[in-house]
Amino acid sequence: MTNQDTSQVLVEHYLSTLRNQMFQVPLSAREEFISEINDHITEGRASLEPEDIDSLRALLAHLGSPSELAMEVIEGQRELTRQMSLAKRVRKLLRPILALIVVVLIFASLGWWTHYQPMRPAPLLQTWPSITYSDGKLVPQVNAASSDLPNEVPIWKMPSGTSTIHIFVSIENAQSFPIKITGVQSPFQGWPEFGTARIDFGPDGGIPKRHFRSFSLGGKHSEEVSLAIPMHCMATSGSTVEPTRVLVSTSFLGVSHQVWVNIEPFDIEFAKTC
Amino acid sequence: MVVGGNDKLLAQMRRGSIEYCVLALLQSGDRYGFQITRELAVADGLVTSEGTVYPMLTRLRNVGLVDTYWQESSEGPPRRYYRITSDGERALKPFIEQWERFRDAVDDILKRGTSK
Repeated sequence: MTNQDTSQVLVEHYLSTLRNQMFQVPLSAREEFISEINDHITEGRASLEPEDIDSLRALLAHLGSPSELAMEVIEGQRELTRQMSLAKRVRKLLRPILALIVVVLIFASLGWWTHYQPMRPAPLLQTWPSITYSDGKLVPQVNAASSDLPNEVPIWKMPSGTSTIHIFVSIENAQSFPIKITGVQSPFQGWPEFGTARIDFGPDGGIPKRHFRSFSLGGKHSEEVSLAIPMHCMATSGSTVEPTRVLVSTSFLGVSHQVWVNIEPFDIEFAKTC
Repeated sequence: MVVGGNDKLLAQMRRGSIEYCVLALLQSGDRYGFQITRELAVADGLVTSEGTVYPMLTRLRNVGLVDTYWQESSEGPPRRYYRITSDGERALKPFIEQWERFRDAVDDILKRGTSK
């Protein structure tokens, strides 16, 4: 056997002993480490004479005994396992907390959508509607309506030509937080007899005379909004329409919401002839 | 108190500092495993068994303080190079500051002890 063969046997013996000592280490980690040690030996041998057994022994001795290296790797693996199990425990703990937060957020959102109704009519401030006939005569509802039965809502007969119904609504933010009023919809939306409403509002509780635009309504504050809705007489079979509420669009913390605000109810009886 | 002779004392001192020595080496340039072990071995007492540097490099890589890449070599098979990451640089900086303060304090005390 030449010295070169002996060198090869020494290296192979070193690596196989190392492999055996590392039997507890997962295969991929084990092979990666052995490959690094093998590369190290190859690099070291490159500067040695192939026949120089003593220098090769010294190289292996400097590397450390296979059992010492194996112990170091096993300890590293244990540490890694400990860290991973700790991370796993933390994840296990965090998962239900995150799930709980998500559930709470979902229920809070649902609560807002279904229950949070900051808007309400200010009952003492609600006024009866009035009407301006086609000849320009303004008539309060009480003078224009009649009812066949007591306690029934007043009935208006639709006048001929184009008249205008005036509805005043006082809306109140019953909660403590300011909300944004982004829109008010005519109660006659979709009826062909009624045109587009002119909507005005009165900031700071004043008389509604400013054309509507989004405004902030402070907590525990109310605001007057007026709707002037043109009404065109059309001959029908004499049915009636009873507006009882207007739709108010609000926004709170960027979430849009729509609420109904009641108005003083009245009936309009469509004319059979105009 | 460390008892059991110089070997144990050195082992304990080495344990706390060698990983940072590797990071410091890599801060001056990427190196492959053999280079790192040789440079550490040249420094007196830092490495007794060169092979133990490799598990430490694996640990550093697992915690993200170094990463590796392969590069062809004209002298043999491709080499795995180690380079310091930004996390590694962040970890090294406070160590250097603390180490200098600690070293100066110990030197100062030792000088006082030996001057009597």
